[in-house]
Amino acid sequence: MCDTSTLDISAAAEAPSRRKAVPGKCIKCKAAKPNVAIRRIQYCRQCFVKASVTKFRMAVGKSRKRVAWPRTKVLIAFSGGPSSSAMLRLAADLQNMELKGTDAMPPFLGAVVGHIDESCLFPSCPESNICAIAANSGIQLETLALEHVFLPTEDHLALLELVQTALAPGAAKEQLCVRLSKPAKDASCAEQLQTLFSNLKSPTDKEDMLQAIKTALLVQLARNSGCGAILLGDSATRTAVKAMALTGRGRGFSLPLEVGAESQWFQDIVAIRPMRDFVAKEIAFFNRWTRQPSAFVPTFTTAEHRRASINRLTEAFIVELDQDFASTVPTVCRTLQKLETRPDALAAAPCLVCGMPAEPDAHTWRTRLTIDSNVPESTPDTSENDTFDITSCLCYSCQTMLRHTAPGAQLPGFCSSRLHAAAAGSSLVSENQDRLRKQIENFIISDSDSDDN
Amino acid sequence: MADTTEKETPKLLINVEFSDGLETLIKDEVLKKREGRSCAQIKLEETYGGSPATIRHLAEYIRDNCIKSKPELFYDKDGVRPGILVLINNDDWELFEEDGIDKHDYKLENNADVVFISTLHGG
Repeated sequence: MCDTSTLDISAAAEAPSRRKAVPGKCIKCKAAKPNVAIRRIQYCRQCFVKASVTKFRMAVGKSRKRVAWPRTKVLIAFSGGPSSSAMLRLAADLQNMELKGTDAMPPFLGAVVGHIDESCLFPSCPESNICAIAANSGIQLETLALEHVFLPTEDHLALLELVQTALAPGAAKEQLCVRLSKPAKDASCAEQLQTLFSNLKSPTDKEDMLQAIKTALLVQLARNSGCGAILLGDSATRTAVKAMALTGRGRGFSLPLEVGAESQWFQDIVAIRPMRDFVAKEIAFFNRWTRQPSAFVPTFTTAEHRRASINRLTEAFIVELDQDFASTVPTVCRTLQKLETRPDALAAAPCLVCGMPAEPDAHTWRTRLTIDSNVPESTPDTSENDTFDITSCLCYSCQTMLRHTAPGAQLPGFCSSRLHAAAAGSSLVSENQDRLRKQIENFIISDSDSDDN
Repeated sequence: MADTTEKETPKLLINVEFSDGLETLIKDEVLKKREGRSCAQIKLEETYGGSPATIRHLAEYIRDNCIKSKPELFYDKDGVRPGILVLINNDDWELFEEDGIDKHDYKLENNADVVFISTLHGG
């Protein structure tokens, strides 16, 4: 602390306002030597950690004001990476406030850590480290593995198998045909998952599919654990990158739901992003100075060049811009706050793959493309009675992903469940409905033959 | 690097740590695990062309001698790649950037602790 005995009275009378910086000192305490600069504002270590804790509490409080969710348990989505590790620490501290004797009530009835085990796709993923970090928080850990999406359930006894696609701009009849099929007999769930990803063409498609599966599993984990809210660890930097990447991939229709501070798209579950005000740098310093461990979670583009995927390229763009213009990330995030979800998006049916709203007639956007990759596409033979067109049940981005996917690929089980629900809710085009219902009936196992499976 | 036949010049010993995925870029023989952290001790010349050793010299040394492959994932164009944070003696290196002095030009002292942290998704 600085020595105040040397200050003269006139200086004391002109005490600096709370926001006025003292050169060479922390912006908060105005006494200690600064240890970090966040957008040119300098903090000492103690004030920085305190400010981070306050910022997190404010973010949860603000979300609660905007979306009054009932007092419920919360699922803390935890990948093991720096942002979700920081969120886990901050959320655990927030939940334990009552135990420390303050009057404030914790914002949630209880908390569960939800983790998706990705080691099936990334064998180098340090699962034991990740579980140890979660265990340190003292909060119950619930884990689901990615391959769980291929576990047969009553909802999806059959899987959707891609047959043929004709979605090239100017195609005579745009169709993306699937049929219901049973999983290969000898294939384990892990093998089915690996086969699906080997059938996806590009790292961008793989990242999209991985995100879709993780979102579906997190929602499932939340429901299984009786949680009415999910905390997602998207940082400000990640949100800015995501916004640009989602826009580039044609996901503008669902963008406000995917980057918003809170989203009620999953109806019974509120998704909250309380790390949205933290840039990646703040998270790195918070973890370091609070000795919060995190794991290195590999992705499809780890150690790859910037052009490896749209996400990677967008990240490089935002991060490089942010280096020269320190307000880039906050500016993108502030702009995103102004986005509102269109009423027709909230009323739209969920996409079979990503689960986000699928814009009706999304495929018509493709007719406006003037440049396209020269990918040969087979003309679907719809004479076979067991195929049906699911184009209208997919968002634009997932159409693009499946368009490039090898025929024969079997989609995760939740896709057939969603198709089942869409058929029941008559949101499918009528010519498909009857055929689909009959197909689904063929796969429903009666009590008498369930023993055989 | 310096010719081995040259008269030996004084060296600086720098304690370096790589974190959040950056360690996967570094050659195994350089890294030492210390309390779960991936560390390395790097010897730099005290001066380069008459000027004291700086963070830039350290980063260039790592690029040229310690990276397995794709050095551009660590050192891009003329500096540490954007998205990689640098801590010098546990302080943010951006604090040392003032009055037109580039943060890469921070002068290193013997036994300095330098940490490189990747904030990029997936390292």
